[in-house]
Amino acid sequence: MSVLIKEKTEYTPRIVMDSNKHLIDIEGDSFPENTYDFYRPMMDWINSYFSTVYNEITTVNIEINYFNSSSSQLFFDFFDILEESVKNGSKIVINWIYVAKNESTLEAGEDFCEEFEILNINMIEKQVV
Amino acid sequence: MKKLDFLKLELTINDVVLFDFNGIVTQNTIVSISKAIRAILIESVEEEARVRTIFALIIEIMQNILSYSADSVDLGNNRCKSRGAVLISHSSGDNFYKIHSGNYILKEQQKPLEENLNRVNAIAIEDIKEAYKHQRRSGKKVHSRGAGLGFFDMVRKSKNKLAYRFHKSDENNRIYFELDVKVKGAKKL
Repeated sequence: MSVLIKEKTEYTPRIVMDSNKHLIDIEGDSFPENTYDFYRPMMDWINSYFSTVYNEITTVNIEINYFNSSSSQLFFDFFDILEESVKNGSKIVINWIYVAKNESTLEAGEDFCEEFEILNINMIEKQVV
Repeated sequence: MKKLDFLKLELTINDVVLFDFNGIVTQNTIVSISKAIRAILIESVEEEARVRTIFALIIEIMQNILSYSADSVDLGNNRCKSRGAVLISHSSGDNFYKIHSGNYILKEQQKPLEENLNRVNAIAIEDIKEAYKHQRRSGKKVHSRGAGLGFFDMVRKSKNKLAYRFHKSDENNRIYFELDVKVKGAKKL
């Protein structure tokens, strides 16, 4: 069981991965200088987590305001791992959280829904008052 | 002495320069510049969605300069330092924002770069979303600095084709590369 936390910076999101709570939370902007290097610990964590989890439901919350093209590519790989895990029997709830007036994150979420139909990604509109 | 190249632009009386930069590019410069541009555009009372598009384009363009320019130097720990120019103008004539950028590339980079740009520009704007998704699928698990999606992303976000020019420089092995991305303004400035 392990917990991985990366604090938010101006160009990277806050990442919380908690195998005790079966929770993955990603929130913020994503345009690191070297995307794969930045996300490598997260990808390694996910790969090992889904190889050990069985009946528990894992919740994945993603709220990305802006991501650059290499982060978009990275998140494709991330969803690909989730899809493989679901095919292997994992139960995953994925929430894609977006602010209504931010069309590009809505569109990005819809893109992932179309690409990974098996994942049933929930599109959740966040109200900002 | 080596001559420093600048953007070769012909601005008219209808063009307002909103931002002009020529210098050292690092990840921190990109963060500062993108924030400054966001503030300038918000001041210009541009619509939020448009501000977000231009912000995204600036980051994409400057991260390309950071990674692919001939001046890109590896600082270790996966950090680079590079050099380039970015100028943003708004033309009241056609209500377009234009993001002009320039940086040196090595001579051997010109052909593959030109091929990439032509490949993206050959796609009709209405087909770019599908082409972007196709490109992303084919780039799966390709762990390079860039994902090859950058130009697709620029066309998709700007809803316009990319303009580019290559100029000879004083040094034989270098070419000055200019890229222009334009975005239709939502409001009149």
